[in-house]
Amino acid sequence: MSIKTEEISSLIKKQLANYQDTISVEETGTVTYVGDGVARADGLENAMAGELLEFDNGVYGMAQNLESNNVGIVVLGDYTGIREGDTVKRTGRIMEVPVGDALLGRVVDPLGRPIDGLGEIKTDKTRPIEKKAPDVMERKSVSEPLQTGIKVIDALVPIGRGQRELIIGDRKTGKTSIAIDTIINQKDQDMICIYVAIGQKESTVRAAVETLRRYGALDYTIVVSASASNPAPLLYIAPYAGAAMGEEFMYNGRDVLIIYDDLSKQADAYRELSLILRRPPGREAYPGDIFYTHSRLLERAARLSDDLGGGSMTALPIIQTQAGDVSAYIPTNVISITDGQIFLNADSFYAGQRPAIDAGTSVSRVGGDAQVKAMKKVSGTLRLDIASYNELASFAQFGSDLDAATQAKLARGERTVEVLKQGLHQPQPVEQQVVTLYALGHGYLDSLPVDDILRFESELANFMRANHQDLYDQIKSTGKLPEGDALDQAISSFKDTFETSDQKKATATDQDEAQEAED
Amino acid sequence: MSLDKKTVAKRYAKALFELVDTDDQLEQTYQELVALRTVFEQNAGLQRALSGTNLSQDQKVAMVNELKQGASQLVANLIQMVFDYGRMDEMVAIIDEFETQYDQAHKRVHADVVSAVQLDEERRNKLAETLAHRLGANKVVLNETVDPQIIGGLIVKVGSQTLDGSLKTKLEKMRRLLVN
Repeated sequence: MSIKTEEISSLIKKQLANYQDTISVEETGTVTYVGDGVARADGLENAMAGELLEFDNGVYGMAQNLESNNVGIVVLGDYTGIREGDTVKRTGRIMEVPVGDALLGRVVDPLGRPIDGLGEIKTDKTRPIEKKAPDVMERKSVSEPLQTGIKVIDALVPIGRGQRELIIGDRKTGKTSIAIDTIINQKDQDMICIYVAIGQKESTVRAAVETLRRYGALDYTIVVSASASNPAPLLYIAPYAGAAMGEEFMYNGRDVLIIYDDLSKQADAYRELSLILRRPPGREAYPGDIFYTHSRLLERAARLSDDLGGGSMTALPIIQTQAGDVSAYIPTNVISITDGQIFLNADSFYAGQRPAIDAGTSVSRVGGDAQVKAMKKVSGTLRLDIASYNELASFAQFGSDLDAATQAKLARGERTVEVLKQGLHQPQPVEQQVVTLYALGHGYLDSLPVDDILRFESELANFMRANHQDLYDQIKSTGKLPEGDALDQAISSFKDTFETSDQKKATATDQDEAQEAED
Repeated sequence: MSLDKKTVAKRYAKALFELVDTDDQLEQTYQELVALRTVFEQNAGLQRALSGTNLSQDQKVAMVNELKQGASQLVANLIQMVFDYGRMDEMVAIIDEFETQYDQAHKRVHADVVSAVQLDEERRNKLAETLAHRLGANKVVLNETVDPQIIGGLIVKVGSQTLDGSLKTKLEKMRRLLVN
């Protein structure tokens, strides 16, 4: 292969044609301090709060503290190349990230630069990362459901489009799994998903991306990653960048689901930043505006009015607690901002009840209005059932003689808890959930051994798909339970053919014996 | 939290400026202060010696009295007060601040000019004239430095504004245009 001089020269010529020979007039300042990801500069008297500034070596920074004699700047990138005495210049721009369809299926950093090695992102649209949330008249109430595909959530803590539902729990209790499963379940739901990973290990993010790819969920997902190796300023701006990307779709009438995983780490990053910028520390050494940091972010999740296209952005922030302590500073803050929380309990997680959602403390303040009618009907008494079961179960440990009513309650409770278990990455469509819970509520499961419940559930689903798809379709399209006793008939006809494990074993031994007799 | 140098300097300079401005001694005070600054600049260790603890109080007082020789009443008072309050470290900064205020009152501008070669008289006058016109000032004082590193052209710094017409920056811009 020979080097084509002609071609290269013409290319360079083309690029140089855009070059304009003008004297640059810029407002500059001088770096007086640099370290720990922040810099201070003298001068820059007209810099705006949040303005993008450029250092000598091309690294960008964001103006944070505007003081009488200097400006505190957070450095968005490598700060080791910046020296005392360097100049900083204003760019006159507020921080922006690229947005648009081109980002779908990509993994980007908080500045919107690709980090998945798939090349340039071709989009010319940008949005400022900080934007005021839609105000009162631009919103409407949450009325459409967002199906997570997780039975216990869709039944007990339903989430509506435009809602903010907190996922909270100790480390290793399945918070991220719930988020990922919810994304997987959005396939063919006309939903854009954004997964913002803040302060996580690069390997964890990689694993999450691979999971999404394997389930075909990456096509409608943007992953924004500020990993543990990025400096604190990038971790701090990551959720705002994600929200800006989501807003682009929301204002174009699309439905968006955004997951902030997790905001505890973002709060830690902001604390680090604020302490280095010498802002006064408050409770738990967080700065005074840590509440505003989270409230202005979560307020950007909304369901827009019809005038604005009726798009929505549903936010699922994640918060990690220490030893189940929800009364720490950040958890209480975020609980008070969101429209409810899904509380994950470490004890039930280790007891094998997964997803380990605590039915007693998990609530959804607005999702009930958005719940499908059929689901509302079958899940109506579920919460009470579980509560009374938990109460009875601890009591029943002491005595063995229980009256029939109590025993029935215990049996139902045990089966309820069993039905709400669900495997990882196995979201279920709402019609399947409704039929399962209908079978539970109408006592079809009471006579089955507890060990067979999950098998019964999955075989029932197969049976329904094979023989009664019309019922599924009906639930899905009307959102109501089928009238008459069609559903009852379908379930009982399946139950007649269902063999419990004991029966199976019995038939197997019978056959063996018959075989032996023959021999 | 202790006040930083700039805040302190601003306060002293403002007080002094307002005082001499009403007393019609502005021009004289300014000249004296510039001379005082030259003394400090020529004797690099002086400021530190006066604010540090290496010398005894008597020795320092003697040196301060030396400085006050021939100064007008107001400047002498300033030196004495700054010394008494242990702010000798900020003396030069105070004079700089005073100069800024003086400049503002006289619509005078200080410009740092970096050029690749020494400017001749004609160009210097032309540059001063153009800058004065552009900045709306009556007079422009040029502080010239020669830096062959910028290859050609000029870099002019006025306050926090930078006018960069150097060849080095232009080449750098071109490089970024081609690489990105």
